Amino acid sequence: MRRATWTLAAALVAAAAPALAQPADVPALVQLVEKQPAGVDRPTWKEQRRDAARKLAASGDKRAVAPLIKLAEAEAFDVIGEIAIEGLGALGDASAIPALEKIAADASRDRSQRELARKSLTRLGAKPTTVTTPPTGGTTTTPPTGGTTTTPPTGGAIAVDTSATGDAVPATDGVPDLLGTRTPAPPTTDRFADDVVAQSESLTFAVGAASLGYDTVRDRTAFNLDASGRYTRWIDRGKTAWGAGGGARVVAGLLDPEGVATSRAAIVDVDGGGEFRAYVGPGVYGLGRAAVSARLQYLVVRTDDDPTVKDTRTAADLGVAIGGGWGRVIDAGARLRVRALEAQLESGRALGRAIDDGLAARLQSAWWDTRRDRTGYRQLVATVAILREAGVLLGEPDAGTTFALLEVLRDPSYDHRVHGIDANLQLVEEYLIREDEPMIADGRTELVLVNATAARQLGLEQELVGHLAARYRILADDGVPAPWRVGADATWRKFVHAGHGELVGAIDVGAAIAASSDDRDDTDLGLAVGGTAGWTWTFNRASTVRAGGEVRLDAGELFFGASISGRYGFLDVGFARSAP
Amino acid sequence: MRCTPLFVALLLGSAACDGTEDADGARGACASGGALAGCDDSPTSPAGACWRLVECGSYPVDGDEENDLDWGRCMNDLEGMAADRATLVTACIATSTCDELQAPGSPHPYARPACFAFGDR
Repeated sequence: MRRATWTLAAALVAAAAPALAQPADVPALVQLVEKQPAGVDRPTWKEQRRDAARKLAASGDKRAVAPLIKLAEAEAFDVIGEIAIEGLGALGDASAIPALEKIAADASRDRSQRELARKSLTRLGAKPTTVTTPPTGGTTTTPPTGGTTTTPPTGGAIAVDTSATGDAVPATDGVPDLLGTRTPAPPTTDRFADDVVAQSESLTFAVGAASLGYDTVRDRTAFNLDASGRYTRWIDRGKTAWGAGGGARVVAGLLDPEGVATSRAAIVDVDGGGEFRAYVGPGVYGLGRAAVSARLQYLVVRTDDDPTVKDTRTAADLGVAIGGGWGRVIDAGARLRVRALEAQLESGRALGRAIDDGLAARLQSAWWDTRRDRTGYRQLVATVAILREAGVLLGEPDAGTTFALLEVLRDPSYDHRVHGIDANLQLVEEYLIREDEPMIADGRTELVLVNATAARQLGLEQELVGHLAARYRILADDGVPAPWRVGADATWRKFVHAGHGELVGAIDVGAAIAASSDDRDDTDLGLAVGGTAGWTWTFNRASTVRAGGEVRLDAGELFFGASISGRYGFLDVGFARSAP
Repeated sequence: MRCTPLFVALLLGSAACDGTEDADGARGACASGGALAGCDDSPTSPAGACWRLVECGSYPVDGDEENDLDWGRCMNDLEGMAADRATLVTACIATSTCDELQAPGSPHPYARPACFAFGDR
């Protein structure tokens, strides 16, 4: 037995002797790292490259330092970057310190790479540069060199600045967003508080028409503008929910034909409002709402014969409402996007493990932080980094997987995917100001409103959403009509994707019915039944064109119609704690 | 109101064939009340604008007389306008509140809403 053991040991030493005796061929290894050899496919070369980097790190040769620095700086998403960072510590050359300090302080890097850089710096005798995330709010400084700070308990070493709202915005370089500020690095933790069930934000601009024309044949100038913008934000927490929004629309026109006749018109609408809900039991809540709107309508018409007509009207609404209800409808779109991401990785055999709610929240945090980016670059980089760090994404994504990921991230079919049931009753007190319009009633108006929504997401591709709304005027003075209306509608929508996850568009089918009364002796009960069907093409995250048809039975008359409409949006983002 | 075929009557109930000549009640979500009643702008198209007039109770769907201001007359008016004038009138109606669109005497109007005055020579 002893003889056999000595024989085996001798054989092992003999086998290892050439390798130990022969120094690494550093130039050949460097060449293999830097250039894909002819006749070697890319996956094979990537493996060979990693192996070459390991050998360079173990070579002890100073000539390996420069190529490893290059790898450490450039390879943020392949394990070869980590091999290089670790190898620079092993090589013991102080010329690697600046590069390692930069990596250690770069919050856009994987946490594992930053940790490795700090370890290598320690091995080189340098003090690692670290930045900390304060528990709440405060500002953070990054020491120029050599400063030491602590890593927070959550492990998230991330550079942050603090905005007025308290949202963390990393101070690293990045793609400028719509507002010209820098975009954040991948968050290491869920940015949303534990009790946040869902959150959404949207900013949309639409130009219905904009034209300016002049022709010498008729000596006629014509100008039209119809533009609007709207911002909304909503947050659902465990015990509360609130949202606010506002918008404006401007319609303007000029017609100046030959002669004295001319027409000028301008309409400016501004509105804003908010809602707060307090949940007092399982699904039971009390609510308060407020809204204000103001409107200016200006019209000047000068004809060839008649005197000039000038009509300026101002109007304003101020309203508050209180009420109660049951249930909650949340925008689960962002969580569905995570599920779609998982499905794409699974179909590409790149899914290492399922994505749980905690990781989904972290992904959504990254998406939320990059919501103002003009491009999807940061979003994709953050997503890949998080998925790799969590072991969900097995290895570096290939071109096909990267494309699928990008398509899911940009897919607008996961915006505004509401889910749940909600019903409420509101008592509304409004004050309407119509001082320039003596024929129109103004002053106080009291209403009872009933609203209900039932929304169900049928997997990733389909949804069914229904609404019921009713209103009734109450406390009207004697002789003043008390109109009422009740209406319901439902829409089924199916999203269509191409073979690699690209959203092509959506089919929608809807139906609506409404009944109403003016409470006047000279009017009948109003009844309308209608149906719609349409196809929506999708061009980017918030921009669509829809072609649709409509059939409507109203007051006994039958109507068919077709229309094409479009919109362009800049921003749409959401968060949902759990999947429907 | 005109009596309609049987299938329409079945859908709409007795109101479609009640034999009265009254106009129809306003059926828009915001036909009464202000900002909190939930009144979105209408589609900026001739049909969208004319339906807003109906839903606000400004015009009936189908007037008693041939030349009454009703949905069909609204469509004819908008489609007969120069394109740039029609665009602005349509946008004006689509953004107006119901009370602004209700001419004195609605829903038996004797005057068009102010939006129609734009570009009227």
